Amino acid sequence: MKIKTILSIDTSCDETAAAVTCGRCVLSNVVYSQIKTHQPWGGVVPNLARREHQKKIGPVIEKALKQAKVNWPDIQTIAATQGPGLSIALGIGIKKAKELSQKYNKPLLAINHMEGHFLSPLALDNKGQGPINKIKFPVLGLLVSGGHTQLVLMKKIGKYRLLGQTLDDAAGEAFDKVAKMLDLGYPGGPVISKLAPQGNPLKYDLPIPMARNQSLNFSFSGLKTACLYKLKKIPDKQKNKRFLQDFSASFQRVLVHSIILKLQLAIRKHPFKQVFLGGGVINNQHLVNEVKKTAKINKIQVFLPYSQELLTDNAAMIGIAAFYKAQRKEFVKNIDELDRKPNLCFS
Amino acid sequence: MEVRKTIATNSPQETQQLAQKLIAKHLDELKSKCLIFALEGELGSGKTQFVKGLGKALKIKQTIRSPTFTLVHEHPFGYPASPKGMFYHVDAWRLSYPQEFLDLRLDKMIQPGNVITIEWADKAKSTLEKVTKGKKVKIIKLKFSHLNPKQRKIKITNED
Repeated sequence: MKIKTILSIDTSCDETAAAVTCGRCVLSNVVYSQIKTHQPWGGVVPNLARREHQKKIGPVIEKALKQAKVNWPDIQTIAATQGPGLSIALGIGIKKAKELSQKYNKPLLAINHMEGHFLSPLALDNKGQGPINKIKFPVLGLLVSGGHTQLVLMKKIGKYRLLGQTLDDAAGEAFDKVAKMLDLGYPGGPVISKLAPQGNPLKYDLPIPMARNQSLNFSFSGLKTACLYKLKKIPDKQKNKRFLQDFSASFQRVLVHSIILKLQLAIRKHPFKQVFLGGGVINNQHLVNEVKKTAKINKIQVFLPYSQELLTDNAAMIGIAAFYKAQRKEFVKNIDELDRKPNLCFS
Repeated sequence: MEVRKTIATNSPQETQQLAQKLIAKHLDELKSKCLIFALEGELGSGKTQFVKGLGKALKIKQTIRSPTFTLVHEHPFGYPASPKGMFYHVDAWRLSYPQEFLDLRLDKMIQPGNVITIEWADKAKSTLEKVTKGKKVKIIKLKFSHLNPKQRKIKITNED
């Protein structure tokens, strides 16, 4: 029997997420975020972690089934994120998946959260529409989120090589921390992205991280510290809206530039024809525009998921990775032995 | 017994080397205790660099990155202890209340042979005192501050 309909669960960090997919079609994609809707210029409380997941996991799964208009007999397998992520959060999702697998007698799949981000552009909407007609291997994955910044090469689906990653802060983290220095609240990264288009990106001179480094690794903590020193020199009374726009634009320009330098280096070192973008920071329009410019010059196709909801943490992307894993019949053999892998990585 | 010391480092590399030297002095204690490094200091003051140094000393091959987003990173290590210990890299920057710290199950991490590093430990002071009370731990407190763009001042306090 070919596995098609999958219930997926992701509890890797702040989000409690469940989704139902049929093949590559997303039938439902439900996310309960522990970070309350962002209020610009206000404090936001990241309400941690275990208790919230425990409370929300059941209702989120129910909602995913209901929105997809499926019942338990329709579900053929259950998938859960095994890592990477926060151990106690991952544990909740895995425990729930095990319970449901035993209760309804469904096979189980353990998924790498980052493979989910990588394969998210392969998701199709409920009409079966998606951005990709044909995959041309090898594919480069540029995965940029709050917790990760990675360049990954996919030789075929299920076969990956980590080419480079951040050595310190993730790009999304740098956005949030610089936002904090600008008193933009938490998570302030999206506020910077909103302010930047109105600002002058050349107003403040900041160092481009890892510009002369020939590896495919990233580093953003030096940029963060450079921002701190730059800001210390500017008197508070000058920190008006115009200033916020200019500083946001300058910071964003430099951070994106450093990612583009690594993308160009990856193109030279590991020729590929397609690049898939995944992770929450891909919501940053300047980053996507610059990636597209570089790709066009090098005759490379760029693909993003069909919806922004597949960029930030979600379970539908887990369903896509699970669909391929089911085709390869890589089910969990011994459910009792399945455990979280908080530091799971591409080999 | 309390020992206080203040050191200036001139580069991220020197901050890493300081960490390597410091943990080397306490490796013997890992046999019977859990080593806890409680780090305080503002953004960009060298905390993650220090943790990278600890990782080097424990011969951890994985890249030690900032755990701000995930809150905890776990790295198993085999040096010098056998069987393996666990290196927990905790970051309280995103936490709003000290109680949230309990949710991270710090109590379970505190085992002889394990090393726990906490960035932004000042945000969880009271909780840290509570969960370590009566346990076999060695707590080393470090306060990081900026001297200038390159130099960092690091104040070390050892407690039993």
